[in-house]
Amino acid sequence: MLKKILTTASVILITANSYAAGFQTISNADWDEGAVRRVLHAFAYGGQTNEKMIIKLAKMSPKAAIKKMLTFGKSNGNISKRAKIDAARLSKKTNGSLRGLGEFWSSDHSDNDVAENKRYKYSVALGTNVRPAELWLRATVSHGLNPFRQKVGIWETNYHMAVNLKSSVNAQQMLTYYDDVVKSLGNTKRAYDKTLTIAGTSAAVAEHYGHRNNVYKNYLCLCNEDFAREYFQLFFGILGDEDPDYHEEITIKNTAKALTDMKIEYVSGQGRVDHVTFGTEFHTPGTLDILYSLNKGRNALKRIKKLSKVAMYYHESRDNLPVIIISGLADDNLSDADIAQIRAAWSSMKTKNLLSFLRAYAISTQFHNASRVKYLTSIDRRMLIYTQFILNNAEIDRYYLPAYLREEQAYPFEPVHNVFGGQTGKEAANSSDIFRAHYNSVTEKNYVFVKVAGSGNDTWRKDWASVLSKKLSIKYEVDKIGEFLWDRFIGDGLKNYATLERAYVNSLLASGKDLAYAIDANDLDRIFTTNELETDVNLISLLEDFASTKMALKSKDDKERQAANRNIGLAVSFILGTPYLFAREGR
Amino acid sequence: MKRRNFIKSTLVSSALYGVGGFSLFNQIAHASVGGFPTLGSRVLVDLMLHGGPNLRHLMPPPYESDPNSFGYRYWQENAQAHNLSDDPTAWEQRWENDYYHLTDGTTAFGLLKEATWLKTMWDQGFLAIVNNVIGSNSRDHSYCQMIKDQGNVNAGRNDSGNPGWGGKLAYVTDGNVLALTSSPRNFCFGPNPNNLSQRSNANVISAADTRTMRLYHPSAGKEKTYAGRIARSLRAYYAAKREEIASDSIYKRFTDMESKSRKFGDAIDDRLSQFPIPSNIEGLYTAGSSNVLNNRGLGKQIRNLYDSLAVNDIVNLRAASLAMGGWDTHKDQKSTIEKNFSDLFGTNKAFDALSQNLPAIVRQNSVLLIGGEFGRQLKANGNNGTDHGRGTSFLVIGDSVNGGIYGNMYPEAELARLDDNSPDITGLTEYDHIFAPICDWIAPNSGSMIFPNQTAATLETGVDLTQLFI
Repeated sequence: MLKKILTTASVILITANSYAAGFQTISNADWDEGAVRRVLHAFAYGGQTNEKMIIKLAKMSPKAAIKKMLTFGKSNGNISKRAKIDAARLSKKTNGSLRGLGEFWSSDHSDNDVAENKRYKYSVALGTNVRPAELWLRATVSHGLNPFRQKVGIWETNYHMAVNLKSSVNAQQMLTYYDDVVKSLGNTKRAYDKTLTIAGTSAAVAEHYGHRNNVYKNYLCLCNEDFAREYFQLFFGILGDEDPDYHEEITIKNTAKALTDMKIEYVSGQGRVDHVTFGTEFHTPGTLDILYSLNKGRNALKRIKKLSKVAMYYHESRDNLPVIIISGLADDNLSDADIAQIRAAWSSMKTKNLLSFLRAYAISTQFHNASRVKYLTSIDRRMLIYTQFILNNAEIDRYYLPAYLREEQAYPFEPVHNVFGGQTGKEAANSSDIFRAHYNSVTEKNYVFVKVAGSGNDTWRKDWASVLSKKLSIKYEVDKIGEFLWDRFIGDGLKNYATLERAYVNSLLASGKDLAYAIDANDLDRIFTTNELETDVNLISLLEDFASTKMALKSKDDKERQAANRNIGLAVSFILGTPYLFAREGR
Repeated sequence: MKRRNFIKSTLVSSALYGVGGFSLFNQIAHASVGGFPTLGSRVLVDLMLHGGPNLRHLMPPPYESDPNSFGYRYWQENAQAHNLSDDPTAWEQRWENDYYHLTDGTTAFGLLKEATWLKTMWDQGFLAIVNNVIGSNSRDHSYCQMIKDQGNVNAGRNDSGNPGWGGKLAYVTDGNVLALTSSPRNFCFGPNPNNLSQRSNANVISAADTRTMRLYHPSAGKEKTYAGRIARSLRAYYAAKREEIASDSIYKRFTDMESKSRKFGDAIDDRLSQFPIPSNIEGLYTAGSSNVLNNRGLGKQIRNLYDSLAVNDIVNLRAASLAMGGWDTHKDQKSTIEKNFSDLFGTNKAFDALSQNLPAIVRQNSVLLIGGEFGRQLKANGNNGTDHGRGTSFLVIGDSVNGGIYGNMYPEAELARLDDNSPDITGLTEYDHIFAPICDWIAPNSGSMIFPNQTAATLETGVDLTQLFI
């Protein structure tokens, strides 16, 4: 109840004490390392930065820090740093688009760290088997790029304005769609309706919905009204509830007429091209009554540009679109007061700009409130695991990034609900199938996490010391490393890292064995309660020994170093198997 | 609130307990026929056709030569959606060549010839076609899907957290819904005992792959492997955690999932290891097989359904939830929808293959409900498809179903609306009148508990769905 009162009050205070898009900004005192991690986990799969940078960002004001953290640039060293051993500065070698990255990763460039026998996966050349998902996955986990850009990019193209490679959309069209949308978002002064226009007039959307075939001939619209409906509903949140008959019989019908003569040329050997040619010959002439406005334009592009501006400021869009954005990206538990505040914040923006809105939200009291809950989708979960577990770009090829995504119906660019988007966090959290598949992936198939050295002539070694501060971990003390790992993968400021969790993690880090095994090899099925871990003197003593053990991460003995890194892999497996991986809270 | 209190809170609790409804089912001994366990309770199989299916394409009116007749105007207005020219001769040929000509004695209708199994069901009196059904005046997919899954025509757009009617059925019968789809539909979730308007996972078992239901635990000799150490750590950890975690924690659902998976997983896997997958069911999702479906995901769901029935006693099965996409036929309706109908109803395809492998007593105690969130408009659009409409039809299929046509299949009044901007089938019968009798058949007197607003729901004049079952 107190929270409700506070949030309601903060709505009233918006104009008097506000930042950017109008949310109530978190105080400097509350902006701490935990707050920085919450932003990174919500918007950047945890980020790929180090402890020092997190401390540095936490020491800034929230407004200053968020401007450094959330950008749509091709790279952002504040949240994703290139590892020392990585050869290529991807941000220098490419323009940061999936197509640009693909050209580099599939090339023979001397700095390309993609294994030669895997470069084919990143080809973007016409006529080759282009794999947008592989490109996106690698771009997301690559150090030295910008995971926030990819997080919002996948949401825009796979959820908010989803199209599907399993429809007739081809990979070139999909790449262009993704890159054009993200590029548009990167123009920080551009109004959001322009990005929605770019999406709405793209070849991918015209192909998916089929309105590339819509023509106006002999005073008849030979059209389907699929996108005419979803343009309003999905892109803008306009449902036509105020006057359903007008919406159905006027707005949707006439929007179908506006979406005419949008040809996509077919090129032999390549398929349909990745752009639309906006014609006039078969385009509906004259003025069209759409959304209580008069829509004019010689072709579909001109009409949709005008219509997007109208739609963006239509009252249903003002109410619904910002809620779609926040619930899609950050909160599955919005209260009425939260929604009212989101709407007020959006309405306060004269020019609707997504980046400004997200920045303001990410440092708002609402975002950092304990009532906020976001369940992770399978993509969120897998990307979180890989961004945190892969320590440098040279390691990427050692992990199979698409693992489990197809089985969990969460493969990028193939949204399970088609234009209604991919698997949601709530869906993932409601499925014991997904829980089970994940549980088995970190137990039965945990070789991924305990692999610490290459075989034969392969000199690769897993090196957690490369990302651990010797000073902050007190010379690699088990208890500190456990906390580091928990915060790295769970990001809750150790809120849920209680006695039980700490006991299991420390046992694995110190001994490489589970707690029961470490205590008595003949009583492997023993269950420990928090109470006995906190009161049994023998257990307390053992756990203290574990906690103070120093890990040999810098040992000169290769086998000792491998064993220490393997123990970290075991501890990570355990952490990933706890319930706390599946959701993120506001505080 | 506990289940018993939920039941007591309804007006019909006395009736329920008076006839001893559920206890009767629970007393049925679990026997087997040819090794296949008989059902401990009647079972609802709910198949959602996502996208709004055009069931008139499956069951069109007979072609008629009179230009003012329903049978002429249908074919005229929908010729494009059947990939036909403007020539009435082509319409007549299509009718003659591609449809079975059926009648219930009053209404003549066609049935696409790909739907051989469905024709068999009709011939045997096992198919009920309920027409002019409606859940909402909206034509928004997600909202209408929510309404159908909840079985609540009064649900608002913000009610997505409310329970589904399959989950309610499982809840009041103290059983479970098996979600055989990639993620559970809203249909599956029962009420939260502490807040009946909210939903809970307690009566749902996710079974997107019934052949891998167990949580990993090391086999003998592998206890000390790295995998074994983590599996053992987590098993012990969850055993303690589920006792310690706060009941309102957002993470409790995951400790519950661990518990449920451990409870059911091993038992299901052990049972199914004794049950080879019938070859023609395996063929439904196996590339290159003679009866592989275009939609192999549906084939997997049919396998899951077969398995669910085989473990019905273990999971206390009351309902199974399936879904199939590909029904939003704005373009190229004929090629899209006929593949779907073939997958569902073709010879040796989904339901035919399943039926062949179920004992008669299992078929007699299960009912299949098929429908989408809405229907299509009465006229083809310009892309050889049809756009969203509100009214639709539902198919209710089962050996215990009182087959026939319920509701006017081809209302003449539609002819006067063909020139409207977005003409569609007028919805006259709301969901309550179909779903409640099904619930009553599964568990006597449960229908009025799950659909308390049935008396207020609209029903087409002359239609009596209380006679849906024999």
